[in-house]
Amino acid sequence: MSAWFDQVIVGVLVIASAAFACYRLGPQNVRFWMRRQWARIRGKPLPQANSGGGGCGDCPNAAPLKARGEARVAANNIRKLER
Amino acid sequence: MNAQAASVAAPLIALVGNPNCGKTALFNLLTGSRQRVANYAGVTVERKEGSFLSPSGRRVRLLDLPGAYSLEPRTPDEQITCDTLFGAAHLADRPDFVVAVCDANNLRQGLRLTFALRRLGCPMGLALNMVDLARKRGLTIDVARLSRELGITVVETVATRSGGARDLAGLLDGIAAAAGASWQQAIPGAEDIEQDHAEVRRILRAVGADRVGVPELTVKIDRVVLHPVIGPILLAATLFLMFQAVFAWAQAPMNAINAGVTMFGTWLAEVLPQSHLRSLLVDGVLAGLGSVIVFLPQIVILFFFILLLEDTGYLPRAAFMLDRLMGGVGLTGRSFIPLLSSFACAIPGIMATRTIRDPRDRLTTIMIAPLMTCSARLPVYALIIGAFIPHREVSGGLQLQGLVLFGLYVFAVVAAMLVAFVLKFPKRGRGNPLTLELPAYHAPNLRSLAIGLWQRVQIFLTRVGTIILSLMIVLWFLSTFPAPPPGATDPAITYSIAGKIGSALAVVFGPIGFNWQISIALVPGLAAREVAVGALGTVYALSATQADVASALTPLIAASWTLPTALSLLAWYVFAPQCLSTLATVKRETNSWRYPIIMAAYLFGLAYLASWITYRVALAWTG
Repeated sequence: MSAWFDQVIVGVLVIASAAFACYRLGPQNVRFWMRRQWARIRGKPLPQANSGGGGCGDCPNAAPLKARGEARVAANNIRKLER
Repeated sequence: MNAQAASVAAPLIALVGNPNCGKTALFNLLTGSRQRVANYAGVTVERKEGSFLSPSGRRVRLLDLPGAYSLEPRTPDEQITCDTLFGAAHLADRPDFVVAVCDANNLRQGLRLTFALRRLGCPMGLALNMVDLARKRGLTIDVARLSRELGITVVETVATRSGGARDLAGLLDGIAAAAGASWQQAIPGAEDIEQDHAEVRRILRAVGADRVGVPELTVKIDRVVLHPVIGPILLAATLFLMFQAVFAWAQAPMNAINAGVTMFGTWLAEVLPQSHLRSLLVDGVLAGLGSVIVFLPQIVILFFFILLLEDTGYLPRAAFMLDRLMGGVGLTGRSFIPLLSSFACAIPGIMATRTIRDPRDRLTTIMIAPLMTCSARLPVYALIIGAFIPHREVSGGLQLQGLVLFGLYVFAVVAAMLVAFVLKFPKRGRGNPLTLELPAYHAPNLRSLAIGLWQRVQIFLTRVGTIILSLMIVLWFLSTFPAPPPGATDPAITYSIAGKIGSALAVVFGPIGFNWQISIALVPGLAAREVAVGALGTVYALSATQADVASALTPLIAASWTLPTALSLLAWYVFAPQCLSTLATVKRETNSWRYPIIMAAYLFGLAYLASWITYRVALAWTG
């Protein structure tokens, strides 16, 4: 493995990890700003303020906030009711 | 799916009912979601929205609301339900239709709320839940008559059974087109309530549900479980068994995971050439994650017991028994369930305080919740206990390691009670006596137990694969760069950024016995407790020369730390503030930065003091 390739791979991993850690641990407005940039990069509609991203996301009861005391069930967690 | 039907605006349906009548179970059944359910009141404390396709392909939005006994809110969670029904300004949508969910075994209470809902003038139906249990207990309810008496459609549901909500889905299909009815804001007066109660009694007699279906077995079990002497002994024995099992049952799977991590690390070190990438993968990622993932079996066993207790209906009994003890420090048994939830994670525990009526009690419970030993602290405890406490039996098959773990949990509870005593000191009056609904005992549902455990495994592995992984990579970078100067003799990490930070922090933490490696690990440990273990794995891997150090953290710290240092670190983790997410949740729940700041300050202060005392006493003791 060449030295430059080694440094590029490691550099990308470190920068991506640092950005992810900032996103997960950062304050609400930092998270929101990062989500907007990520949506912009992917060409997706920009997220609205307070439309998710609160809480640590590690606990089923600490789901992202929408309005006070409200959690939205993720779309991929919904199945079709079959009869 | 019918595309035309789906394009029509999806109606919003609210599930409203008394606590513990099965609203969330119905919500899960209809939407396919896996929101937390348990056999006690107050599990749901926020409004949850999901959606599903009705049998005709119409999209229906469903709201799961916290349980309420009336439409006059007395607790923050009931306030959320009432705000939703009354269309409070901060909530965008008011429901188009309300489903009153009633426990068929306790229809009296359910109908009282149904009458209050009827006064709102909203379109509504009634889901008679748990009819299977009611039938088993000999209660046969005339559903057609009930529907005629109430003037609304009544359907039977069994939320724990697949297909148990077919009739309800059909009902929601029918009402979807009738959305947009007008609401009134009618709060009943005292006369109305008396009239409602008389009407409820009459209807109960008419439909054959005029007795509460408390099974005989529940009464018999409660005679033992709630006994003033036997009850507390049984509770202590149950918790004791739980912590014994955490060590006794987990040994074999932990050894297997450890062996797997070691094998993989050795293979990786052989395959990859000497490079930064190899160091990152072996010393950073594998040493860090391997040190944490090994504790998965212990976490699974702990949650197995917690979920089992939740499912059977034992927890509210424990709250009832501890009411007197809690009363001694100025709280009530109502604080018990939020505190018990905090053993899993402080965040749901703090949110569960919404069920506490008295604002001062609620604030005190929030302030002491982080002292409960959350599951993320288990890897730290297990690592130190594994390294310093011999793996042997004391007597009667009791494991010494399990005994020490139990002691740490008890120590945390005692500390929490002392803090509550201080916080409530000026006014320790008991304004609100405990009124608690004791649910009937259920045999644990093995499917939901398995799902609950699987969710916990997923949560743990997600943490390991996301936040812990990213922090380990960042820590590796900080511990590797800048490279040591030519001719340096010390380990490279001592010249790195992390090494310098650790040396600076060691000045602060030196008096409590922490070396620079521990001092480094404390910083990422603020993100999540178990990260501290991973950080120790990475830091020691980079400090040493052995290739297999990644998987051998326990013997390594046993050889390099003294007993006073280990005890001091245990004391630190009993008190030190929980992760940043906990502080953020406290800010959200109290709507102020004041309380998280006070919490962080008092917990850091207590942690430092406890560690200092522990270290000094242990030093004097060991000579």
